[in-house]
Amino acid sequence: MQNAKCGMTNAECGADLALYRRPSVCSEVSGAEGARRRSPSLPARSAPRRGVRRLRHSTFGALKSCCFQHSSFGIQHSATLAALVLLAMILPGCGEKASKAEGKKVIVLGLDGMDPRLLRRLMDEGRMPTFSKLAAKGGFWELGTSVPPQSPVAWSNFIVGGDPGAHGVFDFIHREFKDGEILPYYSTNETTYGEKPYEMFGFYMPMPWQESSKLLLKRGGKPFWDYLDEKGVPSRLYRIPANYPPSESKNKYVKALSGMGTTDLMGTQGTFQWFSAEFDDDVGSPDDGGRAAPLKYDMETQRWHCKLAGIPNPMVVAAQGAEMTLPIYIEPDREESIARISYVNQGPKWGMDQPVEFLLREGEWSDWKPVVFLPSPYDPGGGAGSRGIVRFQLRKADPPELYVTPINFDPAYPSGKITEPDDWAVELAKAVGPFYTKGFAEDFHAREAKIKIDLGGYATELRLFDDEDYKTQTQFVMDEGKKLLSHALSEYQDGLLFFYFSSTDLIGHVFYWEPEPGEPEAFTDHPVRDDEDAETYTRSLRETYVQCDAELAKVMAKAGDDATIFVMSDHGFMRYKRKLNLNTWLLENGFITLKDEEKRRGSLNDLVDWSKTKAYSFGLNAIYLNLKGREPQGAVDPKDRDAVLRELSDKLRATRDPLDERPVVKTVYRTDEVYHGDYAPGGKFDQHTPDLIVGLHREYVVRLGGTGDLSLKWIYNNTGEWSADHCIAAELVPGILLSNRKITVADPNLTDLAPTILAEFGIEKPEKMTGRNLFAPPNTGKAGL
Amino acid sequence: MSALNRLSNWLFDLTYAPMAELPPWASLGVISAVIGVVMLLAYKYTSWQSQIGKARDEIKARMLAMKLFKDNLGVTLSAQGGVIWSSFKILLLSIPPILVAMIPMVPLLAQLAGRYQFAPLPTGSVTEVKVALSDAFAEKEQHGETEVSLEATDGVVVLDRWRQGDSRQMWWRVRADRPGMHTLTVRVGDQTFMKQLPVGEPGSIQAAISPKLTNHYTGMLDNTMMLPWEPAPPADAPVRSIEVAGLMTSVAPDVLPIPILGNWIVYFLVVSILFALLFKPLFNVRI
Ligand SMILES: [Zn+2]
Repeated sequence: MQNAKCGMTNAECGADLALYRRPSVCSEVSGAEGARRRSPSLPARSAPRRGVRRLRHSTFGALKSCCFQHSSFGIQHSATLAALVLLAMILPGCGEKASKAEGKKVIVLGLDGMDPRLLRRLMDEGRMPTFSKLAAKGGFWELGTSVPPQSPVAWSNFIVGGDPGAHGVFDFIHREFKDGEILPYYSTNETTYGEKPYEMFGFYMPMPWQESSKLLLKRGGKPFWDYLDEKGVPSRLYRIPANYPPSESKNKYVKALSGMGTTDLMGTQGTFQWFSAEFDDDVGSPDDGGRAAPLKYDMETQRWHCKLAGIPNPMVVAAQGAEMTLPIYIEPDREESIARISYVNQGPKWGMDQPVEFLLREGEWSDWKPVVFLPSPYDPGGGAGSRGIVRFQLRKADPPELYVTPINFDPAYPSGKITEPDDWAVELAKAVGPFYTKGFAEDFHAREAKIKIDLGGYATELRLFDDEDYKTQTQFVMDEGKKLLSHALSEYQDGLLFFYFSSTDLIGHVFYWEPEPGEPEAFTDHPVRDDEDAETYTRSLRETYVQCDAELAKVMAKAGDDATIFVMSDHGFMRYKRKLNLNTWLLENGFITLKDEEKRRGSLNDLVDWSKTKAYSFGLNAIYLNLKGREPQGAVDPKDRDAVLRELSDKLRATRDPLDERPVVKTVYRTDEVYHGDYAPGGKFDQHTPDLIVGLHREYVVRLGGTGDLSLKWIYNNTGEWSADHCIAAELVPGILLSNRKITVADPNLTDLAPTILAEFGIEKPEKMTGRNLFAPPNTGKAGL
Repeated sequence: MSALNRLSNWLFDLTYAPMAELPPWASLGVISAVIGVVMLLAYKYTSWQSQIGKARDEIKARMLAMKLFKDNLGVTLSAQGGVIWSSFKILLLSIPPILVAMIPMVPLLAQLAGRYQFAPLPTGSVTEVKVALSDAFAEKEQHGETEVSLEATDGVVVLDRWRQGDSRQMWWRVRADRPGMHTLTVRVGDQTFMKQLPVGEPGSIQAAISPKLTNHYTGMLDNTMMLPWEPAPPADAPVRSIEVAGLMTSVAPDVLPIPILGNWIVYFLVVSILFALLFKPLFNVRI
């Protein structure tokens, strides 16, 4: 999934990124946010229910009968009673809800971005025997993807069984209007700001009657598992994309761990921290997200220190929303390349501080370590504060350089809602240990991060991850996924099991350099790698596919013969060499007018003369008309809408690459034609719906538009590590579908899976779903159940 | 002290042996239950039961009076005063038996801590061994006048070493490859200091576990009393302490519904008090 940055790899886009990082807590409302974090529904309180199921079933019956048969109090009866009281303490009251799936199993393995051509090739080479076995049983098909084929959109199609008109997710990035300005937000979730809390004695005091800030799931439509929930069929959804915060399960048959879209503790889509002795105080930020800060030496204590940034202080008025920080100390050995890293997690009460100390060799990674940001010395929440987990990589020992992962929620003590029910995270953490909880766990930002420093008069560029680092880090994510899948399979009885792997996509974006269809295999012309490296890392992505084969083997072993198995991806892949800036294209083609011809750098809000602007691009593939009545400074009359859209589409389709005269745009989709439902143009909630979706040809991608820098050329060479993508015309990048059963539909699509799964459990296709039942007898005339 | 320690070690090992195979929550449950009942009986025979009984009866009578004459302010007030006074008497009367109970409790808690507070290092895991040197030897080490090294018995591999700038702390990382009770040896010049390192599944080591040996006492209770199983380095030794990180544990996180009960001492208190209360009517003890 192209993340909030498909095509954004260069220095130019630093400014854009700042905008896309929306803190979940802001200074004005953070007191209320603080209160929310402490709400009784959070796992610190609900923990007592966890982890006891195994004993419950075997002993509960015996316990009940003992209890009611003996009424007199002899010594042995007292003892029995004592033992029973002890057991009662150990065993919680009620059991898990009984499944009404009647043994029916449907397992969906979601492999983000797995490409049908590459998969076919590896299957032909015999490297994916389990996939071949599954394909032989049922089949292997290309799976139609969403318009546009971006992961949040595609997975939402899967979830609601309809196109974006049914769920309102059109892009990674959507726009909203505030004070006449256009601002971006991450399309599947948004934080609302609550009322300003009262101030007392220098602290914010949120009151129960005040509205607190809320994190909202912005994906609309009814997820298919809600229908299963109503019927009493259990669903287990591991790392389900586009479902953060997880939607509520009314009947408690759904357990969901949120995947793509889940923020880090800071509320961003992932902010790593990079500390180096070579940085000084005004080091600035790396080009592509993340933070950089200096490591300083203290002569007296003979150690290096830096400050790990956390969440803004939501309690202390004087902090003015400044981030709380955690001092980290590094002490290198006097000869060897090893150092001690230490810090202290402040406890909620005196004497409860938790020191964390460990050794790392140069280049080595730590395991997960807890970090706690305590908003005030007195924490009524019982000490959870804002707790997260990080992994450290000691990049250099002396003078030190340190990488710290984005701060993930600690699933064992989650200070945000990452699972439904809340305490399922705790159960998972207990079973498999800590794991990446944030959506984009593979840290591609760190692969692209660079910083210019001045070394005694010489300007030097420091880089963070190299390809090997990225490979190592992404493998951590993959390995955690494998462990979680083993656990998921061991717990699974019947009903639906959905499990998601992200690595096939996010390793793909950086390492995929496969030849285009019809081209001979050659690993030339990579923007940052020589041919040999391009081949090495492309092969390492193939290894990731092969690892998925072993995971599928685990699934098949557990599933048994009567289970229905789907292996699917949300879209395919392609490498690319050329990038487009749609807003510059719109400018050069007369759809955007500048206030000042000379001023082209900055945000659209500052540069554009809205009164003469007909259309602008925002996000990756979306174009919005500057429509009167909808946009803050609309210029296009609704009666001219059709004409402008036609003119725009024609011009886009006629566009050619000045380099070799190749056509650039494959398809321009009119959303009023391809979208159906409440979010489609003319529907109940159409105010955020784009008017056009631009589908490029293979080997082209769009640079993130919106806050766009109009000084960029409209088309240029890609020079970044992010060198493969899929955000183009949907028909050019289908995903994969494999099943152990034959389908009866010629052109399966992502939207078909939801109605098919429901049909497997005997649930008729809901009216709002536009997808088809893939197993329906072919000549019933009507697809559906 | 050491003779007493040996006696308490021997006594405890003897009692613990039959339950060694049980999971920790079960064996600690039994021990806590028995101790609860024994303490109840001890309370009965070390307290002035007749006086406590009298005070209890008085409270009952006054409560009844309050109920019967709830409209009569005078009676109610004097009854309330009586209740408070009798409760205070009970409190005073229970001080001597509690003091008596404290004496066996201290070594007992130390023994329980050795069994339930720490778990062996999981096989295959890596942990730090932290050695603190005395100031004089730290300086010697720093100037290369003396060598400090760590050795381990077969099955534990010493991976790497880290020295603090002034050599006061020296850390090693060790990997526990094979289960069993291993011995770490810190060699400073020609002197050696030993520390046990248990490796294996929780409950697989039939011996008390301590994470740290030190001759540098802080705290109210002498460490030799609280950690009676391994000899600490002598006060003038070049090594001040040897500590193995990562041995902390919880009694049985998988079985207990309330996390705090995973702390053995909380679990012990809850279960022993519960059983004392359950057996109170049976042994006719007035508390
Ligand atoms: Zn992608």
